[in-house]
Order: sequence, then structure tokens, then C-alpha cells
Amino acid sequence: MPVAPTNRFLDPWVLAGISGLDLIAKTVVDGFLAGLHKSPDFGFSQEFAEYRAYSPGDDLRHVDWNVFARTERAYLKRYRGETNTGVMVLLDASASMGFGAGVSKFHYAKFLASAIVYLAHLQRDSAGLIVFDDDVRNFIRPSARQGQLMRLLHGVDTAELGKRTNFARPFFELQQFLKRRGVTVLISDFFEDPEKVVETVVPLRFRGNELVLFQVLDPDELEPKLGQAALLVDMETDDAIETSPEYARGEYREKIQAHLEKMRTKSRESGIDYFLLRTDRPLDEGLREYLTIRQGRM
Amino acid sequence: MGFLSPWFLAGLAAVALPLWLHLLRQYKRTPQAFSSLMFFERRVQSSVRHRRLRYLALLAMRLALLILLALAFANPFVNRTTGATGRRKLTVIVVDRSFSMRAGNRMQEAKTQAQQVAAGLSGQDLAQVMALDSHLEALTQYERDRGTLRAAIESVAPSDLASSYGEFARALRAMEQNSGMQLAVHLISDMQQSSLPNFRDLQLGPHTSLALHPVGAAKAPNWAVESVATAPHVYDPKQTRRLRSTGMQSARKK
Repeated sequence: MPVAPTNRFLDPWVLAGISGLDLIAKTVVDGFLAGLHKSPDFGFSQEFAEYRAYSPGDDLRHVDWNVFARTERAYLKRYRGETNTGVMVLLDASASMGFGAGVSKFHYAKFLASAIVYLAHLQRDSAGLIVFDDDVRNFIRPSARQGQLMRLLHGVDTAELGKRTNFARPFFELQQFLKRRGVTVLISDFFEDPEKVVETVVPLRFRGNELVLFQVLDPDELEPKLGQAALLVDMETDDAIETSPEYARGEYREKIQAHLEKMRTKSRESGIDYFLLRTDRPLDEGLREYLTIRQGRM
Repeated sequence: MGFLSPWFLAGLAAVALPLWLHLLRQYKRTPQAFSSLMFFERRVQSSVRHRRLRYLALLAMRLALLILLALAFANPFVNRTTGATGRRKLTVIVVDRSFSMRAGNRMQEAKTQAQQVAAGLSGQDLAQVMALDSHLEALTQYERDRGTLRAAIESVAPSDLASSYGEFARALRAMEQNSGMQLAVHLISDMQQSSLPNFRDLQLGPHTSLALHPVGAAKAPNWAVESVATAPHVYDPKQTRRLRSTGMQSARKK
């Protein structure tokens, strides 16, 4: 008798063991799409198009039961399967993203970026990539042409950690590139004042763009475990500070939780999607949850 | 102050070990990389300072322990006078009442001297009157009242016993130990040689001072039978025998 797997999601450690981002992206996306029974209603470019009256032979899964409950008539919800929507992935490559004992935040962010561009590729959306720290380090123009996926995956693969995070400059330049409406996905640890972050990125929404913020954090950043007083050195500024385990257990956790809550609130107020991903969480599970939430809003 | 075994002071060099370990630990703290310090505040350093202070206190205790060990092995000693001990003072007036004090007016003379000692005490001085023969008997408690002391001195009467300075010294040692006081002892006696025990038994405690007040001894020769020479068998009781004795010149003339 076959034994059912206890966890069908992919552990980040397993992903880290797979060589090649294309394979990782395929594993992740195929994994959660399989979990969703290959529903066509999930993805970034899904936009409601119209209602059509039900006719015999139509798939009952596409019937809008809410409308049926109100009108007692069956209508099918129709979507624009593919559009000229572009997906732009912005990958933070600042030094702080290198934090993490096992799978670092940067590795995890790379897996996530790869999965997103692969998902866009599956939906035949154009996709692009910007790697930045305090400046734009790599830019791949959005395109849906043949070979774009490999270009993007190569761009993600060759991204290296840089210096400090500075959203202002890369986003100013990004606004010059983003002439067409689409979805912009920003992957970062957002160690910055939430107000400043939102203030910087919110202009991207003005041209009908959708903006999604993925905050990637290591468990040790959320719940630092210090056995004894330690001298901590900032990976971006090289500033050093001595701290105690008591502080890490108490005030630090309160502060970072307040920071996350503020990020969530500010994003929601500005109509920006915000989603927190811990690096110890299976990526396909996180993506699936996010897309489910997104689908619920559409 | 000095040391009986000063070569053990070389052990003080051992304090270098914890000192070196302390310095080693202080400078070998490895920094830990962290993504961002934006949620850490400078004020957390106070707890670290507190910890450092505790560590310094621990270091000081370790050093002190080693130093004290070295000093303990070196056997330090301190020269101190009895008066420097800070003990309360008790004046003990001891009047000899042995059989020999019956001679002449020795007893009266002793009482007079005892009264003079009592009169010389200041108002706050504690004093006790005791009588000595074969043992030492307390006639009063520790008193400040001069009247009680005088009455006790006057009540001393000669006994039929011989005095014992050995018992006297033993009683004073016990008294010093039990009372925890500094004893100023005045012995008024005719100083009979027969009262003297072994020299070792006369030793007094470190907090006891003794002042001797002899009575009636200055004029009387001190007689003692040194030897008697006689035949083992005496047949004629009228036969005279020679008795040889030693004494003062004046006694010989008599």
C-alpha cells in the first residue's frame, strides 16, 4: 500500500540541491500548479473579460455560482487568457540579502524570481528582469520572444550580491522603462522604513501597473537566537553593535513585527500587494498561498 | 608585619594566568554578521556593560583568591601590643590570704595596698576583688562601685592553706579566655618561694598584665633547710649533730 507523502511541498534545502534555475523554476511552478489541478484561473495576467451565458456542454467549473445564486441564471466567467501584460521582476541584490545560514535570502529570492518568470513564460506573458542594489546592475527588457526565458534565468543566475539597498535610484530609472501596463514584482528584504519604501515604489502603480512586494526574510531575522551577548556587524554598512540575548528575544522581535505590520498596512493603503516569505518555508507552498489570495481578490 | 615563609610569595606570579585569559577573551570576540542593525539600538550596550562589569568583578575575585592563597602560604604575622586589641579593661585586685600572711601585720599591710590600688581606679573602671590561697576565689563581681570593692578587700581573712601561684596563673588564663577582656592584675602577697610551681605554669595570657605588690618580705630573711647530716643509727641521744643551712648573712650571725 503506497504511503502518502506527509508534505508534498518542496523544502528550500531540496531546491538548493537542484542545479540550474530552469529546473528549479519548473519544479516549483509545476509543483504548485499540480497542486491546484492546473486551474487556468491562476497566474499573474488573469483579467476578467466578460460573462457568457451557459450553454450545454460548457465546463461547469467555469460557472459563476454567485451570479447564479442572485439571478438563477448560469453564466460563465471568461478571462483574457493571454494579453500583452508584461511581468517585470525586480530582484534586490544588496549585501543584506546574503544573510542566512543554510539557504540564504538571496538564493531564495533567486528561486522565487525564476519561478515567477517561468510562470509568466507558461502564460506567454512578456517578462523582464532588473537586478539592483544601490544602482541597477542588470536589466533585461520585457519580452515574450523565443529564448527570453533562458535569458531571464541566466540573468537571475548570474546576479551577485552588491552593496547597500537604495530603492530610489533604480526605481527612478525603472519608471523610464515601464511604458506598458503590467505587473511589477519586487523581491527584497525591505530593511528600510516602510513609508519610504512605499513612497518610492508607489509611482509604478500610476500607469495601471500592478505592484507586488515579496518580502523575503530568514527565520533568524524574525527570531534571532543568541546564546550569549554578541557583536553584530551590519552586512551593508559594517557598523557594529553589541547586543544581548535578552534584547534579541524581547524588544527586537517586537520591533521587527511592528515593521512587518507597517509594511503590510502601508502597502494595503496604497493598493500594493504585499506578501512575506520565510526562507524556511517551501517556495511552492508560499507561491500557491499568494496566488490563492490574489485569485480571491479578482 | 612580616612573613614566616616569604618564598611562597613567588606564587603571586600565578595571577598572570587569569589576567592573560581575560585579555585573550576580551580581544578574541568574533563578530557575527547580521543583515541589518536597524532594529538594534545603542542603548542595549548598557546590558553588555553590566555583563562586562560582572566579568571584571569575577576577574578581580579570581585575582584576589590567588593573591590570598599566596599570602596565606607565606604565613604573614603582625606585631601588635596588647593595648591595641580594643578589649575592655578589667582590674583584678588579688589579695594573698595564705597561712604565711598571718605573720606580723602582713595581712593588714596587704589590705592597705589593695585599698590604694582600688582608690587609684577611675570612676568607669571595672574591677574585681579576689582572694588567693590554694585556689583563687572571687569576692565580688565586675564592679564599678568602690564601696563594694573596699568592703570585699576588708573582708579578706587569712586561711590555713598555702598559696599556689600555679593555680593563680591557671585561673587568670581561664578568666581572660572566658571574659574576653584585658586584665590588669594586681597581686598583693608576701611572695612565698614555696608557692612557686614550675616556670611553665606561671605563663599568663597575651591580654593579661601583672603588677606585684610584695608585703612584709623586705625585712625577713628567707630560710630554707638545705641538708641534714646524721648517722644512720643514733645510739646516744645526747650526742650533738651539726645542722647546715643557708640564708642571708644577717641570719647567719644570729
